[in-house]
Amino acid sequence: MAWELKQHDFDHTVGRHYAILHDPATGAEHHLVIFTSHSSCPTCGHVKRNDATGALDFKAILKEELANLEKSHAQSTAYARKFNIPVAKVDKK
Amino acid sequence: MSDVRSLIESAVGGDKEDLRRLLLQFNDQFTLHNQVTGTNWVDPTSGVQKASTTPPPPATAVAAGANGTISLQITNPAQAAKATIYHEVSYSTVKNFSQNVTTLPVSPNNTVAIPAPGQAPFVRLRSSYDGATWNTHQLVQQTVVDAGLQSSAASSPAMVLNQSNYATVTGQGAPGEVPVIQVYGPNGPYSGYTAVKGTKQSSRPSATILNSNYQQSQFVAWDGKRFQIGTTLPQVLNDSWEPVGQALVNGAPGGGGTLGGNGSRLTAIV
Repeated sequence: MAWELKQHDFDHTVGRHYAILHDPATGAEHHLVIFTSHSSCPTCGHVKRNDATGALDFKAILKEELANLEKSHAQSTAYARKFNIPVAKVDKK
Repeated sequence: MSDVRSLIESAVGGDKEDLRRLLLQFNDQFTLHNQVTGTNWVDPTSGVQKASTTPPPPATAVAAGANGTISLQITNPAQAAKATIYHEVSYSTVKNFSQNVTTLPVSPNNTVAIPAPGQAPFVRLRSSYDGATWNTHQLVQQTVVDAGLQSSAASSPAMVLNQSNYATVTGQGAPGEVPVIQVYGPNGPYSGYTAVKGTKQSSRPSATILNSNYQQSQFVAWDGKRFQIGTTLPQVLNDSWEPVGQALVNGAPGGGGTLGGNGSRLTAIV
């Protein structure tokens, strides 16, 4: 697979897991942000435990995201490969 | 009676040593004045005389960047006589100044302001008495000077903005499911989008945001390195952040978008 995990870290101050997936051939990136902190009621602000966090499986999420990225870019990648078209790098400026 | 006058009186009286000292003093004074005025009293010509080919010693400068402007404070070198020193400041994105060089107008001012919002160039300086003969360029500092961005506080309340993006931000979630927000470009999910600021277009990555608050409006911004999420628009209006769009994770329309459905993008064109 061309897409892979580039880096990830956990920000304790906001309780978020940040991961960057990328395709080294094109320089394209996809960011993954996972909330793990407590959520609050939008009306009264009451803080409640985010029950879904315990059920999250980062490995499974990563696998699914990489597969989605491959699938999403497969058609254009195949086209470029078929006609041997040079792949332009993403200009991140 | 001054020393010079006493020397003159003594020389007129026939003292050759005093005459020699007197003439040497005159010569030293002529040399000094010639250097700073660009004239030659000993050997005058009818044409325009050029100033001394000797440039001034290097000036020193301190640079500081803030609010989109680089401020330069120049200190002139010590001089035997007070002559006007002209400075030429230039800056470039590369340290050897081989390209992208911007040169400011020559000026005798000792404070220079370089408006360069968002830029971090190298800055150099050279000086001259006459604007023709310059000393060697000197880097103000060995590292770049970050001008920073212009803050909202420095902008007029009704300042014209022209920022937008081609992102779509969608949210979905139902009771018992993990809320999902997708950020993507015109080519669909998992493809990046283009951010527009004035005439400048920049590529931004796509994103998947999981497990955010359920049934709550979510505003997404790009901080230059990663995506930030807030539950109100002001939370993502940090000066250095680019607002991207809004989504509701309960499946209701986010509103304000041009693409329909739950997607929306934030545009600020006043």
